[in-house]
Amino acid sequence: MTTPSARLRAAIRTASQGLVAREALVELVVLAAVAREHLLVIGPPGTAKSEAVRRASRALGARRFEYLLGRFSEPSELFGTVDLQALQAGRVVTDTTGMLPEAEIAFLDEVFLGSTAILNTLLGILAERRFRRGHTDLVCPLRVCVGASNALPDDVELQAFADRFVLRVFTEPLPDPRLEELLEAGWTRSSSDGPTATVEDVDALAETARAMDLSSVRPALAKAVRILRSRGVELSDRRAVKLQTLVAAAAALADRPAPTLADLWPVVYAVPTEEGQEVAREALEALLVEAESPALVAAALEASRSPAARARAVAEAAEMVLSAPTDDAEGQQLRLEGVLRDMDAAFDPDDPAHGLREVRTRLMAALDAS
Amino acid sequence: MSWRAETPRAIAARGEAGRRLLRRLLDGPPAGLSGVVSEAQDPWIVVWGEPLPWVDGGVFLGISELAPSLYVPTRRTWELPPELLQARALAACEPGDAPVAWLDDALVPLGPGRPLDGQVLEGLLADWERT
Repeated sequence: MTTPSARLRAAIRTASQGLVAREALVELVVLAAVAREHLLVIGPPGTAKSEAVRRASRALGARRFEYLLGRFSEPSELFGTVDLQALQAGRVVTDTTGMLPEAEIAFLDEVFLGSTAILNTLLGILAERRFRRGHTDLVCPLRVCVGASNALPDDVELQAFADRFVLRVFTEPLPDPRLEELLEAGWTRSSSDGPTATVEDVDALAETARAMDLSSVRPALAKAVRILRSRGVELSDRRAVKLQTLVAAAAALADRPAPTLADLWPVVYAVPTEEGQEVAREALEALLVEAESPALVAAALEASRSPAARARAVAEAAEMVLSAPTDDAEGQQLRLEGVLRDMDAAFDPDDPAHGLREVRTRLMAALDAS
Repeated sequence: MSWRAETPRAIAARGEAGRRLLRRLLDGPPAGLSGVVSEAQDPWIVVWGEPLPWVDGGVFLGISELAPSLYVPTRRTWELPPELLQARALAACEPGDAPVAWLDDALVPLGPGRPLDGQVLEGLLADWERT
């Protein structure tokens, strides 16, 4: 495992282990970090938003800052207190030690509850990676800020602030059929895994992405934007331009030298509303038919629902079940059957096109032996 | 707009696969599962509930949120809207048949299905072996 993309894939896998149905969220944190964009997570409390970000930070060995904002939060709670010694000398200097301006990954829960003073300063950090307050003027090492909220804001000014979060993901509580999995994962969840990648790996891939030639996918991107706008989906010019960064980052993480049609799926996450994303999935189905990512397996599948992404996700699930069997024979049988069920529910076992025949045979052999 | 019921919620099988499914159910605890065997010369067995078993040759069935009384194969894409497909399927059935499973050549009423236990399964397997 020598390349930054391979290390980041390992980090994603480590961070996702034991998280039920939040794999895409972990992957989008990494995508956002490589794209140098920010991610907004909209969903009810208790849906493992902060846990997913915490795990991603830990797997990347990143300095993390996490805060739950309230209406009465003071700027100093996020950015640091005023240095009193410097103040005696007539200078307003902020001591940012361990605070948001020094973070590499930030998680701000209830982000829209911040005061105007907080949001204005935050805007500078998000847009320019720069913290300015009094005599303090710092370049911030922030790779990605993840904001979370129960809902998108109605207020126009807050909407402008929210627009800085180019990637959007909407989370729901798990459906009932997955409750057993959730309970088991919650009980056995390990939080001690150390980093398997570094922020330097993120930076290396960000550089790779920035240097990519996008000319081969630009017509398809333009077509996607036209389709979305014709269906009434709001997508500002700024977002349309930013799509290129997201697609290039997806290609870099997939280890492709240049983006292909397989890397267009982040377009869905750039649509700012939940309803719009649902329309995008349906309207872009034909354009995203080849979409898939070996690194961002769940995110590509949730965005595109393409057969290629589904085959990739099932194959990965199969490898995980085969490579880490549980001691509990009945539990292992159910896991093997679960993967075979997902495989057969989506693909004809006799059709070689999806490339799953070999792994299906191994799953059946493991099931016979269990 | 085409659609598919992607999430498997039931499994249907017949012939050798049906026999495998019955044996699988006898091997494992069937708590939480219900099932039915269709009245036909080459009968289908349809099983639903959690955790859904897997057998080689089984056909997985799912539902659309818009048509919760109709189970359709998860691999099949439909052009007809789910509500309309469900209305057509139910129109061809008797009252009390719903929900129904739309299989290749048959509509299987799931309404008469019952919770599976060891005794029920033994009886079904004996019937099956005779067909």
